[in-house]
Amino acid sequence: MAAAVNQDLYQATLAAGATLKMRGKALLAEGTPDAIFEACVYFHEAARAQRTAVDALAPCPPVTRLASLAEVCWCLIEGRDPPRAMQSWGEVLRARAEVDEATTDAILSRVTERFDAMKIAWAKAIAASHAIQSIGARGAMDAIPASERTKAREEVRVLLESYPGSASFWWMSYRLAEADGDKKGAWDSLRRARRLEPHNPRFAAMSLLVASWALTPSAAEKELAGVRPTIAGAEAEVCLMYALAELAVARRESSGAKIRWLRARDAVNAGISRAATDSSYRNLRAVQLLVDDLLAGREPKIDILYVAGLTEAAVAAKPTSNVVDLLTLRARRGELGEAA
Amino acid sequence: MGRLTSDRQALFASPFASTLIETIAPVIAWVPRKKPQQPFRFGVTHTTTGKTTQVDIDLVWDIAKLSRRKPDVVAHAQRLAAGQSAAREHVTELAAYGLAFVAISALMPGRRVVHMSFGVAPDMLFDVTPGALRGVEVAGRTTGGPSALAVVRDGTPARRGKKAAQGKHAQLLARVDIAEAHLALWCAEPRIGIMEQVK
Repeated sequence: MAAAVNQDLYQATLAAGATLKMRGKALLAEGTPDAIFEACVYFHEAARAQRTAVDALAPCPPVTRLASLAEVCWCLIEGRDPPRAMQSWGEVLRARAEVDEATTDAILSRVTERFDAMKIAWAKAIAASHAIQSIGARGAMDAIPASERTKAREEVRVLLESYPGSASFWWMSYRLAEADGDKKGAWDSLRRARRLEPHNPRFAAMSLLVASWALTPSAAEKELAGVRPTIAGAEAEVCLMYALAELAVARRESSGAKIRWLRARDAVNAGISRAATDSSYRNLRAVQLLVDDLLAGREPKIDILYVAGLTEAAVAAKPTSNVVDLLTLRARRGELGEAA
Repeated sequence: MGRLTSDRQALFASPFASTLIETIAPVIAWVPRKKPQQPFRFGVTHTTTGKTTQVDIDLVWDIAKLSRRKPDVVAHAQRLAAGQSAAREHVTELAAYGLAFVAISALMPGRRVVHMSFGVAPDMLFDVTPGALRGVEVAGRTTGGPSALAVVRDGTPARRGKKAAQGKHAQLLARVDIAEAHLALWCAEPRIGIMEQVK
Protein backbone atom coordinates (compact mmCIF):
# COMPACT_ATOMS: atom_id res chain seq x y z
CA MET A 1 0.00 0.00 0.00
CA ALA A 2 2.74 2.44 1.02
CA ALA A 3 4.74 1.54 -2.07
CA ALA A 4 1.72 2.25 -4.28
CA VAL A 5 1.17 5.63 -2.63
CA ASN A 6 4.84 6.46 -3.07
CA GLN A 7 4.66 5.51 -6.74
CA ASP A 8 1.61 7.77 -7.21
CA LEU A 9 3.35 10.67 -5.47
CA TYR A 10 6.48 10.02 -7.52
CA GLN A 11 4.52 10.09 -10.78
CA ALA A 12 2.46 13.17 -9.83
CA THR A 13 5.55 15.13 -8.79
CA LEU A 14 7.39 14.16 -11.96
CA ALA A 15 4.44 15.31 -14.08
CA ALA A 16 4.41 18.69 -12.30
CA GLY A 17 8.13 19.02 -13.01
CA ALA A 18 7.58 18.21 -16.69
CA THR A 19 5.14 21.10 -17.05
CA LEU A 20 7.67 23.45 -15.45
CA LYS A 21 10.43 22.30 -17.80
CA MET A 22 8.28 22.74 -20.89
CA ARG A 23 7.32 26.24 -19.76
CA GLY A 24 10.99 26.99 -19.11
CA LYS A 25 12.01 25.66 -22.51
CA ALA A 26 9.32 27.80 -24.18
CA LEU A 27 10.68 30.88 -22.42
CA LEU A 28 14.24 30.08 -23.49
CA ALA A 29 12.96 29.94 -27.05
CA GLU A 30 11.66 33.51 -26.62
CA GLY A 31 15.25 34.54 -25.95
CA THR A 32 14.75 37.95 -24.30
CA PRO A 33 16.64 38.63 -21.02
CA ASP A 34 13.42 38.76 -18.99
CA ALA A 35 12.12 35.55 -20.57
CA ILE A 36 15.45 33.80 -19.93
CA PHE A 37 15.37 34.80 -16.27
CA GLU A 38 11.81 33.49 -15.95
CA ALA A 39 12.96 30.27 -17.62
CA CYS A 40 15.70 29.96 -15.00
CA VAL A 41 13.08 30.27 -12.25
CA TYR A 42 11.05 27.44 -13.85
CA PHE A 43 14.08 25.18 -14.26
CA HIS A 44 15.11 25.69 -10.64
CA GLU A 45 11.60 24.74 -9.56
CA ALA A 46 11.72 21.72 -11.86
CA ALA A 47 15.01 20.63 -10.26
CA ARG A 48 13.38 20.81 -6.82
CA ALA A 49 10.37 18.82 -8.09
CA GLN A 50 12.71 16.14 -9.46
CA ARG A 51 14.39 15.79 -6.06
CA THR A 52 11.03 15.65 -4.29
CA ALA A 53 9.89 12.90 -6.65
CA VAL A 54 12.94 10.75 -5.95
CA ASP A 55 12.64 11.33 -2.21
CA ALA A 56 9.12 9.88 -2.46
CA LEU A 57 10.62 6.61 -3.69
CA ALA A 58 12.03 4.67 -0.79
CA PRO A 59 14.00 2.64 -1.52
CA CYS A 60 15.04 4.27 -4.78
CA PRO A 61 16.82 1.93 -7.25
CA PRO A 62 20.40 3.17 -7.94
CA VAL A 63 19.78 3.56 -11.69
CA THR A 64 16.67 5.69 -11.03
CA ARG A 65 18.60 7.82 -8.55
CA LEU A 66 21.40 8.35 -11.08
CA ALA A 67 18.98 9.29 -13.87
CA SER A 68 17.10 11.66 -11.55
CA LEU A 69 20.24 13.40 -10.34
CA ALA A 70 21.39 13.75 -13.95
CA GLU A 71 18.05 15.41 -14.72
CA VAL A 72 18.45 17.74 -11.71
CA CYS A 73 21.91 18.71 -12.97
CA TRP A 74 20.58 19.27 -16.48
CA CYS A 75 17.79 21.52 -15.10
CA LEU A 76 20.39 23.63 -13.28
CA ILE A 77 22.58 23.88 -16.38
CA GLU A 78 19.56 24.89 -18.46
CA GLY A 79 18.60 27.20 -15.57
CA ARG A 80 22.00 28.98 -16.03
CA ASP A 81 23.25 28.27 -12.52
CA PRO A 82 26.80 26.86 -12.72
CA PRO A 83 27.51 26.90 -8.95
CA ARG A 84 24.43 24.78 -8.19
CA ALA A 85 24.94 22.61 -11.28
CA MET A 86 28.47 21.81 -10.11
CA GLN A 87 27.16 20.86 -6.66
CA SER A 88 24.63 18.51 -8.23
CA TRP A 89 27.32 17.05 -10.51
CA GLY A 90 29.09 15.87 -7.37
CA GLU A 91 25.95 13.95 -6.44
CA VAL A 92 25.80 12.47 -9.94
CA LEU A 93 29.36 11.20 -9.63
CA ARG A 94 28.62 9.63 -6.24
CA ALA A 95 25.48 7.94 -7.60
CA ARG A 96 27.19 6.49 -10.68
CA ALA A 97 29.36 4.20 -8.57
CA GLU A 98 26.37 1.89 -8.04
CA VAL A 99 25.35 1.56 -11.72
CA ASP A 100 26.98 -0.48 -14.52
CA GLU A 101 29.24 1.43 -16.89
CA ALA A 102 27.26 1.01 -20.12
CA THR A 103 24.03 2.23 -18.53
CA THR A 104 25.87 5.08 -16.78
CA ASP A 105 27.46 6.24 -20.02
CA ALA A 106 24.10 6.13 -21.82
CA ILE A 107 22.29 7.98 -19.00
CA LEU A 108 24.94 10.68 -18.72
CA SER A 109 25.72 11.13 -22.42
CA ARG A 110 23.58 14.24 -22.85
CA VAL A 111 24.26 15.95 -19.53
CA THR A 112 28.03 15.29 -19.56
CA GLU A 113 28.47 17.18 -22.81
CA ARG A 114 26.47 20.15 -21.53
CA PHE A 115 28.19 20.09 -18.14
CA ASP A 116 31.69 20.08 -19.65
CA ALA A 117 30.84 23.01 -21.93
CA MET A 118 29.31 24.95 -19.04
CA LYS A 119 32.29 24.26 -16.77
CA ILE A 120 34.77 25.60 -19.32
CA ALA A 121 32.70 28.71 -20.06
CA TRP A 122 32.13 29.38 -16.37
CA ALA A 123 35.83 29.01 -15.46
CA LYS A 124 36.69 31.46 -18.24
CA ALA A 125 34.08 33.96 -17.05
CA ILE A 126 35.27 33.79 -13.45
CA ALA A 127 38.93 34.05 -14.47
CA ALA A 128 38.10 37.30 -16.27
CA SER A 129 36.35 38.73 -13.19
CA HIS A 130 39.33 40.07 -11.24
CA ALA A 131 37.40 42.39 -8.92
CA ILE A 132 34.99 39.63 -7.93
CA GLN A 133 37.89 37.34 -7.11
CA SER A 134 39.52 40.11 -5.12
CA ILE A 135 36.49 40.77 -2.94
CA GLY A 136 35.41 37.14 -2.77
CA ALA A 137 37.04 36.28 0.51
CA ARG A 138 36.28 39.58 2.24
CA GLY A 139 33.28 40.06 4.50
CA ALA A 140 31.82 43.56 4.67
CA MET A 141 31.19 45.09 1.25
CA ASP A 142 31.09 48.63 2.66
CA ALA A 143 34.73 48.24 3.75
CA ILE A 144 35.79 47.77 0.12
CA PRO A 145 36.88 50.96 -1.69
CA ALA A 146 34.08 52.42 -3.82
CA SER A 147 36.12 52.17 -7.03
CA GLU A 148 36.68 48.45 -6.46
CA ARG A 149 32.98 47.97 -5.71
CA THR A 150 32.09 49.71 -8.98
CA LYS A 151 34.34 47.33 -10.90
CA ALA A 152 32.91 44.34 -9.07
CA ARG A 153 29.33 45.46 -9.75
CA GLU A 154 30.08 45.70 -13.45
CA GLU A 155 31.66 42.23 -13.46
CA VAL A 156 28.69 40.79 -11.59
CA ARG A 157 26.32 42.43 -14.07
CA VAL A 158 28.21 40.88 -16.99
CA LEU A 159 28.25 37.45 -15.32
CA LEU A 160 24.53 37.63 -14.63
CA GLU A 161 23.83 38.43 -18.27
CA SER A 162 25.18 35.00 -19.16
CA TYR A 163 24.15 33.21 -15.96
CA PRO A 164 20.93 34.86 -14.73
CA GLY A 165 19.99 31.70 -12.83
CA SER A 166 22.87 32.01 -10.38
CA ALA A 167 21.24 32.98 -7.09
CA SER A 168 24.61 33.33 -5.37
CA PHE A 169 25.60 36.05 -7.86
CA TRP A 170 22.28 37.85 -7.43
CA TRP A 171 23.08 37.76 -3.71
CA MET A 172 26.49 39.29 -4.39
CA SER A 173 24.83 41.87 -6.62
CA TYR A 174 22.47 42.71 -3.74
CA ARG A 175 25.32 43.11 -1.25
CA LEU A 176 27.31 45.38 -3.56
CA ALA A 177 24.26 47.53 -4.35
CA GLU A 178 23.37 47.76 -0.66
CA ALA A 179 26.87 48.92 0.21
CA ASP A 180 26.51 51.63 -2.46
CA GLY A 181 23.16 52.71 -1.01
CA ASP A 182 21.45 51.72 -4.28
CA LYS A 183 18.05 50.75 -2.91
CA LYS A 184 16.45 49.77 -6.21
CA GLY A 185 19.45 47.72 -7.32
CA ALA A 186 19.64 46.00 -3.95
CA TRP A 187 15.94 45.15 -3.86
CA ASP A 188 15.80 43.93 -7.48
CA SER A 189 18.85 41.70 -7.02
CA LEU A 190 17.62 40.21 -3.77
CA ARG A 191 14.16 39.62 -5.22
CA ARG A 192 15.71 37.67 -8.10
CA ALA A 193 17.83 35.57 -5.74
CA ARG A 194 14.70 34.81 -3.75
CA ARG A 195 12.67 33.88 -6.83
CA LEU A 196 15.32 31.36 -7.82
CA GLU A 197 15.59 29.91 -4.32
CA PRO A 198 12.35 30.74 -2.49
CA HIS A 199 13.13 28.31 0.33
CA ASN A 200 16.51 29.83 1.14
CA PRO A 201 15.97 31.22 4.68
CA ARG A 202 18.71 33.81 4.28
CA PHE A 203 17.09 35.31 1.18
CA ALA A 204 13.61 35.20 2.70
CA ALA A 205 14.75 36.80 5.95
CA MET A 206 16.87 39.48 4.30
CA SER A 207 14.06 40.39 1.90
CA LEU A 208 11.95 41.51 4.85
CA LEU A 209 14.61 43.81 6.16
CA VAL A 210 15.58 45.19 2.76
CA ALA A 211 11.92 45.83 1.96
CA SER A 212 11.72 48.05 5.05
CA TRP A 213 14.71 50.03 3.77
CA ALA A 214 14.32 50.08 0.00
CA LEU A 215 10.56 50.25 -0.51
CA THR A 216 7.96 52.79 0.48
CA PRO A 217 6.35 52.02 3.86
CA SER A 218 3.15 50.84 2.14
CA ALA A 219 5.05 48.53 -0.23
CA ALA A 220 7.16 47.26 2.68
CA GLU A 221 3.97 46.60 4.62
CA LYS A 222 2.75 44.35 1.78
CA GLU A 223 5.93 42.28 2.09
CA LEU A 224 5.60 42.05 5.86
CA ALA A 225 1.89 41.22 5.67
CA GLY A 226 2.74 38.31 3.36
CA VAL A 227 4.86 36.56 5.99
CA ARG A 228 3.08 37.78 9.16
CA PRO A 229 0.78 34.73 9.42
CA THR A 230 3.80 32.39 9.28
CA ILE A 231 5.99 34.12 11.86
CA ALA A 232 4.83 32.05 14.84
CA GLY A 233 6.39 28.97 13.20
CA ALA A 234 9.22 30.62 11.29
CA GLU A 235 12.95 30.06 11.69
CA ALA A 236 14.79 32.24 14.22
CA GLU A 237 16.54 34.19 11.46
CA VAL A 238 13.25 35.08 9.76
CA CYS A 239 11.76 36.14 13.13
CA LEU A 240 14.73 38.41 13.79
CA MET A 241 14.61 40.08 10.38
CA TYR A 242 10.84 40.43 10.53
CA ALA A 243 11.08 42.11 13.94
CA LEU A 244 13.78 44.50 12.75
CA ALA A 245 11.74 45.28 9.64
CA GLU A 246 8.68 46.14 11.74
CA LEU A 247 10.85 48.45 13.88
CA ALA A 248 12.39 50.07 10.82
CA VAL A 249 9.01 50.71 9.17
CA ALA A 250 7.68 52.10 12.47
CA ARG A 251 10.52 54.64 12.45
CA ARG A 252 9.55 55.80 8.95
CA GLU A 253 5.82 56.11 9.61
CA SER A 254 4.22 58.99 11.44
CA SER A 255 1.70 56.84 13.31
CA GLY A 256 0.96 53.25 14.26
CA ALA A 257 4.35 52.58 15.83
CA LYS A 258 3.00 50.75 18.87
CA ILE A 259 1.28 47.99 16.90
CA ARG A 260 4.51 47.38 14.96
CA TRP A 261 6.52 47.23 18.21
CA LEU A 262 4.05 44.64 19.54
CA ARG A 263 4.40 42.57 16.36
CA ALA A 264 8.18 42.84 16.66
CA ARG A 265 8.00 41.65 20.27
CA ASP A 266 5.85 38.63 19.32
CA ALA A 267 8.24 37.71 16.50
CA VAL A 268 11.30 38.01 18.73
CA ASN A 269 9.69 35.91 21.46
CA ALA A 270 8.88 33.24 18.86
CA GLY A 271 12.39 33.36 17.43
CA ILE A 272 14.22 33.17 20.77
CA SER A 273 12.65 29.82 21.54
CA ARG A 274 14.10 28.46 18.28
CA ALA A 275 17.52 30.16 18.31
CA ALA A 276 19.99 27.42 17.45
CA THR A 277 23.22 29.35 18.03
CA ASP A 278 24.58 31.78 20.64
CA SER A 279 24.92 34.44 17.98
CA SER A 280 21.29 34.08 16.94
CA TYR A 281 20.16 34.20 20.56
CA ARG A 282 22.21 37.35 21.30
CA ASN A 283 20.80 39.24 18.31
CA LEU A 284 17.24 38.29 19.19
CA ARG A 285 17.84 39.18 22.84
CA ALA A 286 19.10 42.64 21.81
CA VAL A 287 15.93 43.26 19.80
CA GLN A 288 13.83 41.96 22.69
CA LEU A 289 15.44 44.47 25.09
CA LEU A 290 15.05 47.19 22.48
CA VAL A 291 11.32 46.53 22.07
CA ASP A 292 10.84 46.39 25.83
CA ASP A 293 12.33 49.88 26.08
CA LEU A 294 10.18 51.23 23.24
CA LEU A 295 6.98 49.80 24.74
CA ALA A 296 7.89 51.22 28.15
CA GLY A 297 8.37 54.66 26.60
CA ARG A 298 12.15 54.68 27.11
CA GLU A 299 14.72 55.68 24.51
CA PRO A 300 16.79 52.51 23.82
CA LYS A 301 20.48 53.00 24.54
CA ILE A 302 23.65 51.29 23.33
CA ASP A 303 23.86 49.60 26.74
CA ILE A 304 21.33 46.98 25.63
CA LEU A 305 23.95 45.65 23.20
CA TYR A 306 26.29 44.98 26.15
CA VAL A 307 23.45 43.35 28.10
CA ALA A 308 22.61 41.10 25.13
CA GLY A 309 26.27 40.12 24.70
CA LEU A 310 26.85 42.02 21.44
CA THR A 311 29.98 43.56 22.90
CA GLU A 312 31.84 44.06 19.65
CA ALA A 313 28.92 45.98 18.11
CA ALA A 314 28.52 48.02 21.30
CA VAL A 315 32.19 49.04 21.36
CA ALA A 316 32.15 50.03 17.68
CA ALA A 317 28.95 52.09 17.98
CA LYS A 318 28.83 55.81 18.62
CA PRO A 319 27.12 56.47 21.97
CA THR A 320 24.56 58.69 20.22
CA SER A 321 23.62 56.09 17.58
CA ASN A 322 19.99 55.16 17.17
CA VAL A 323 19.90 51.51 18.22
CA VAL A 324 17.17 50.54 15.70
CA ASP A 325 19.20 52.03 12.84
CA LEU A 326 22.38 50.43 14.11
CA LEU A 327 20.90 46.94 14.36
CA THR A 328 19.06 47.11 11.04
CA LEU A 329 22.20 48.32 9.23
CA ARG A 330 24.28 45.53 10.77
CA ALA A 331 21.63 42.99 9.77
CA ARG A 332 21.27 44.31 6.23
CA ARG A 333 25.03 44.06 5.73
CA GLY A 334 25.18 40.52 7.03
CA GLU A 335 27.17 41.49 10.13
CA LEU A 336 25.13 39.47 12.60
CA GLY A 337 27.53 36.54 12.71
CA GLU A 338 25.94 33.10 12.50
CA ALA A 339 22.42 34.55 12.72
CA ALA A 340 22.61 35.81 9.16
CA MET B 1 1.79 3.87 -48.10
CA GLY B 2 -0.72 5.06 -45.49
CA ARG B 3 -1.80 8.63 -44.95
CA LEU B 4 -2.75 10.06 -41.60
CA THR B 5 -4.14 13.48 -40.85
CA SER B 6 -3.59 14.76 -37.39
CA ASP B 7 -5.86 17.45 -36.06
CA ARG B 8 -3.84 19.15 -33.37
CA GLN B 9 -6.96 20.44 -31.61
CA ALA B 10 -7.95 16.84 -30.86
CA LEU B 11 -4.73 16.41 -28.93
CA PHE B 12 -5.94 18.89 -26.35
CA ALA B 13 -8.07 16.13 -24.88
CA SER B 14 -4.74 14.78 -23.58
CA PRO B 15 -4.15 15.15 -19.84
CA PHE B 16 -0.76 16.53 -20.84
CA ALA B 17 -2.37 19.44 -22.71
CA SER B 18 -0.56 22.09 -20.64
CA THR B 19 2.72 20.65 -21.90
CA LEU B 20 1.51 20.25 -25.45
CA ILE B 21 0.38 23.88 -25.60
CA GLU B 22 4.00 25.06 -25.30
CA THR B 23 4.83 23.33 -28.58
CA ILE B 24 2.17 25.01 -30.74
CA ALA B 25 3.92 28.28 -31.57
CA PRO B 26 7.28 26.53 -32.13
CA VAL B 27 5.66 24.08 -34.58
CA ILE B 28 4.01 26.93 -36.48
CA ALA B 29 7.33 28.80 -36.53
CA TRP B 30 9.46 25.82 -37.53
CA VAL B 31 7.43 23.65 -39.91
CA PRO B 32 6.22 25.95 -42.72
CA ARG B 33 9.44 26.75 -44.46
CA LYS B 34 9.67 26.90 -48.26
CA LYS B 35 6.10 25.77 -48.99
CA PRO B 36 4.00 27.39 -46.32
CA GLN B 37 0.71 25.75 -47.29
CA GLN B 38 -1.38 23.31 -45.32
CA PRO B 39 -1.44 20.40 -45.04
CA PHE B 40 2.19 20.11 -44.04
CA ARG B 41 3.05 16.57 -45.09
CA PHE B 42 5.78 14.61 -43.30
CA GLY B 43 7.00 11.42 -44.94
CA VAL B 44 7.55 9.15 -41.98
CA THR B 45 9.44 5.87 -41.90
CA HIS B 46 7.60 3.90 -39.26
CA THR B 47 9.24 0.82 -37.77
CA THR B 48 7.56 -1.26 -35.12
CA THR B 49 8.04 -4.91 -34.13
CA GLY B 50 10.61 -5.27 -36.91
CA LYS B 51 8.27 -4.17 -39.69
CA THR B 52 8.89 -0.93 -41.61
CA THR B 53 6.23 1.05 -43.48
CA GLN B 54 6.13 4.47 -45.11
CA VAL B 55 3.39 6.74 -43.77
CA ASP B 56 2.51 10.32 -44.61
CA ILE B 57 1.40 12.45 -41.69
CA ASP B 58 -0.51 15.53 -42.78
CA LEU B 59 -0.26 18.27 -40.23
CA VAL B 60 -3.10 20.80 -40.26
CA TRP B 61 -4.15 23.48 -37.84
CA ASP B 62 -6.86 26.07 -37.52
CA ILE B 63 -5.35 29.32 -36.28
CA ALA B 64 -8.73 30.65 -35.13
CA LYS B 65 -9.32 27.59 -32.93
CA LEU B 66 -5.75 27.54 -31.63
CA SER B 67 -5.97 31.24 -30.82
CA ARG B 68 -8.86 30.51 -28.49
CA ARG B 69 -6.52 28.30 -26.44
CA LYS B 70 -3.45 30.46 -26.81
CA PRO B 71 -4.52 33.99 -27.77
CA ASP B 72 -1.14 35.30 -28.95
CA VAL B 73 -0.16 32.17 -30.87
CA VAL B 74 0.41 33.88 -34.25
CA ALA B 75 2.47 36.74 -32.82
CA HIS B 76 4.34 34.26 -30.66
CA ALA B 77 5.19 32.08 -33.67
CA GLN B 78 6.36 35.15 -35.60
CA ARG B 79 8.60 36.19 -32.70
CA LEU B 80 10.10 32.70 -32.55
CA ALA B 81 10.67 32.56 -36.31
CA ALA B 82 12.48 35.90 -36.22
CA GLY B 83 14.31 35.20 -32.96
CA GLN B 84 18.01 35.18 -32.17
CA SER B 85 20.04 32.20 -33.29
CA ALA B 86 20.87 31.28 -29.66
CA ALA B 87 17.18 30.65 -29.04
CA ARG B 88 16.55 28.73 -32.27
CA GLU B 89 17.78 25.40 -30.94
CA HIS B 90 15.03 25.58 -28.33
CA VAL B 91 12.43 26.31 -31.01
CA THR B 92 13.61 23.23 -32.92
CA GLU B 93 13.45 21.07 -29.79
CA LEU B 94 9.96 22.25 -28.89
CA ALA B 95 8.73 21.77 -32.45
CA ALA B 96 10.13 18.23 -32.48
CA TYR B 97 8.26 17.51 -29.25
CA GLY B 98 5.09 18.88 -30.84
CA LEU B 99 5.52 16.62 -33.88
CA ALA B 100 6.21 13.65 -31.62
CA PHE B 101 2.94 14.33 -29.77
CA VAL B 102 1.17 14.29 -33.13
CA ALA B 103 2.90 11.10 -34.27
CA ILE B 104 2.17 9.32 -30.99
CA SER B 105 -1.52 10.21 -31.30
CA ALA B 106 -1.58 9.01 -34.92
CA LEU B 107 0.69 5.95 -34.81
CA MET B 108 0.45 4.80 -31.20
CA PRO B 109 -3.19 5.24 -30.30
CA GLY B 110 -3.97 4.79 -26.63
CA ARG B 111 -0.45 5.73 -25.47
CA ARG B 112 -0.38 8.63 -23.08
CA VAL B 113 2.65 10.79 -22.21
CA VAL B 114 2.91 11.10 -18.42
CA HIS B 115 6.32 12.72 -18.02
CA MET B 116 9.05 14.53 -19.93
CA SER B 117 12.74 14.21 -19.19
CA PHE B 118 15.08 16.61 -20.97
CA GLY B 119 18.46 15.72 -19.55
CA VAL B 120 18.19 11.94 -19.81
CA ALA B 121 16.65 9.84 -22.57
CA PRO B 122 13.89 9.09 -23.33
CA ASP B 123 12.35 12.57 -23.53
CA MET B 124 8.69 11.53 -23.46
CA LEU B 125 7.61 8.82 -21.07
CA PHE B 126 4.52 6.63 -21.11
CA ASP B 127 5.55 4.76 -17.98
CA VAL B 128 7.95 5.95 -15.25
CA THR B 129 8.14 2.68 -13.31
CA PRO B 130 11.69 2.62 -11.89
CA GLY B 131 13.81 0.14 -13.80
CA ALA B 132 11.19 -0.37 -16.53
CA LEU B 133 10.76 2.96 -18.31
CA ARG B 134 8.74 3.17 -21.52
CA GLY B 135 8.98 6.17 -23.78
CA VAL B 136 10.04 8.05 -26.89
CA GLU B 137 13.34 9.79 -27.53
CA VAL B 138 12.89 12.87 -29.71
CA ALA B 139 15.17 15.01 -31.88
CA GLY B 140 14.73 17.59 -34.60
CA ARG B 141 16.98 18.91 -37.36
CA THR B 142 16.05 21.96 -39.39
CA THR B 143 17.77 20.72 -42.54
CA GLY B 144 19.82 17.78 -43.75
CA GLY B 145 17.13 15.20 -44.45
CA PRO B 146 17.82 11.46 -44.11
CA SER B 147 21.57 11.85 -43.58
CA ALA B 148 21.08 14.33 -40.70
CA LEU B 149 18.61 12.00 -39.01
CA ALA B 150 20.94 9.03 -39.58
CA VAL B 151 23.67 10.86 -37.65
CA VAL B 152 21.24 11.39 -34.75
CA ARG B 153 20.19 7.74 -34.85
CA ASP B 154 23.55 6.08 -35.43
CA GLY B 155 26.13 8.60 -34.21
CA THR B 156 29.42 9.44 -35.89
CA PRO B 157 32.67 7.46 -36.10
CA ALA B 158 35.89 8.75 -34.56
CA ARG B 159 37.78 11.24 -36.67
CA ARG B 160 41.10 12.97 -36.27
CA GLY B 161 41.04 14.71 -32.90
CA LYS B 162 37.39 13.92 -32.34
CA LYS B 163 35.96 11.02 -30.40
CA ALA B 164 33.24 8.81 -31.84
CA ALA B 165 29.73 9.90 -30.85
CA GLN B 166 27.27 7.20 -29.97
CA GLY B 167 23.86 7.49 -31.63
CA LYS B 168 20.55 7.56 -29.81
CA HIS B 169 19.69 4.05 -30.99
CA ALA B 170 22.72 2.48 -29.28
CA GLN B 171 22.26 4.62 -26.17
CA LEU B 172 18.70 3.43 -25.69
CA LEU B 173 19.72 -0.21 -26.22
CA ALA B 174 22.46 0.11 -23.59
CA ARG B 175 20.07 1.20 -20.86
CA VAL B 176 19.07 -1.61 -18.51
CA ASP B 177 16.36 0.57 -16.94
CA ILE B 178 14.36 0.99 -20.17
CA ALA B 179 11.78 -1.67 -21.04
CA GLU B 180 10.45 -0.06 -24.23
CA ALA B 181 11.95 2.72 -26.31
CA HIS B 182 11.05 4.49 -29.56
CA LEU B 183 12.80 7.13 -31.61
CA ALA B 184 10.92 10.12 -33.06
CA LEU B 185 13.26 12.08 -35.35
CA TRP B 186 12.15 15.01 -37.47
CA CYS B 187 13.52 17.19 -40.23
CA ALA B 188 11.75 20.36 -41.40
CA GLU B 189 13.45 20.68 -44.80
CA PRO B 190 12.78 18.21 -46.38
CA ARG B 191 9.78 17.24 -44.25
CA ILE B 192 10.56 13.73 -43.13
CA GLY B 193 10.42 11.76 -39.93
CA ILE B 194 11.47 8.47 -38.37
CA MET B 195 9.26 6.71 -35.86
CA GLU B 196 11.10 3.58 -34.81
CA GLN B 197 10.68 1.13 -31.99
CA VAL B 198 14.18 0.46 -30.69
CA LYS B 199 13.21 -2.08 -28.05
